[in-house]
Amino acid sequence: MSDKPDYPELEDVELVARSKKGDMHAYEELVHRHRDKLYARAFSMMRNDEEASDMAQVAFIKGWQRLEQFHGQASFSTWMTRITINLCLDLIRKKKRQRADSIERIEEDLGGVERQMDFGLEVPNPWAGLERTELRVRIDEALKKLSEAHRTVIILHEFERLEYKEIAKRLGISIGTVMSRLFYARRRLASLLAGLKREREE
Amino acid sequence: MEPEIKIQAYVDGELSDRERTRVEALLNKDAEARALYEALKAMREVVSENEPVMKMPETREFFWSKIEREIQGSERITEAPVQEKTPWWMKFFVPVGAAACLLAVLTVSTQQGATQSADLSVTEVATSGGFTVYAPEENMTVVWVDTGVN
Repeated sequence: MSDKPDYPELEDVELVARSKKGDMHAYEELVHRHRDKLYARAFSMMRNDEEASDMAQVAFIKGWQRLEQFHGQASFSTWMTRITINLCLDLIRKKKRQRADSIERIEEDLGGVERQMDFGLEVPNPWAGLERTELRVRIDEALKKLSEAHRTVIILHEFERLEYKEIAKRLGISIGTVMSRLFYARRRLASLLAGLKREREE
Repeated sequence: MEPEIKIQAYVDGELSDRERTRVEALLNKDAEARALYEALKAMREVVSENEPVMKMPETREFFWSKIEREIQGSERITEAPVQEKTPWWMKFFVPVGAAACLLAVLTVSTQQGATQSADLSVTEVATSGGFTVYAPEENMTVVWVDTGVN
């Protein structure tokens, strides 16, 4: 009988403990288990297959190298997602520097954030009655149409569940800017979702 | 802060107790504010609970092979390593000190050579933490110096 464990049967915690001791098979199982989530998160931010795949790959390499620093305060998946998000933010910043652009500039281009009580929806909850799969596809399509700055804030707040303060710190912007961007992004998302609903119905 | 931004912060649980009470008062008396609150709340729920799901286009084997190649032999980063650095002057002090000890020991052993018996003679060098072993039959002195450097 072989002493080799049945890796797919092991919990993440056990796989992490084995990986810390240098067990690459255990780490391979972790990679297999979480790669789609990391790819999806990276894709949401970068909107590019190749970059998303690269970000997930680099995240797993960094994860292996920093495994000693992971003490299980959060889940392995959450820890890895944070690494991926940070890598994506670094790449976005790098690309911005290359374009001699800035998030603030993008906001100015949009003419600032118009604020009003009306959320801009002709029909409340345009997503009502949609299957979950369909809804996810629509949200993804709508995210694609947001500016990078607004999409980033939405992802950090709604998917990463970060507080305003933490988002501001990560993006190097004020809390007020985070709030404005989030409001604008939500309103735009709602409007895009309503538009997508109309397109499908026609 | 504009009322709509305050309402959003209320939905996101980012307000202080005092501000929360104020927003609640506004929601109770203003239908538009209430409608915005409902829309923001619904929007927040629908997006946060429906993150797009995707499958990585690369196969498991191909994706892992790239990672495996990179992590094989790569160093693990431990927590904030404290580096003990040897002061620059130690680099000079150690060889010079060792040479001085060797010279002193050779001088002493030469002087004692005539009166030594055929037995081995072990001499401790007080200041260096080292010692010498003198074998008169072979007329040989072995000096061991502890430099204190690992």
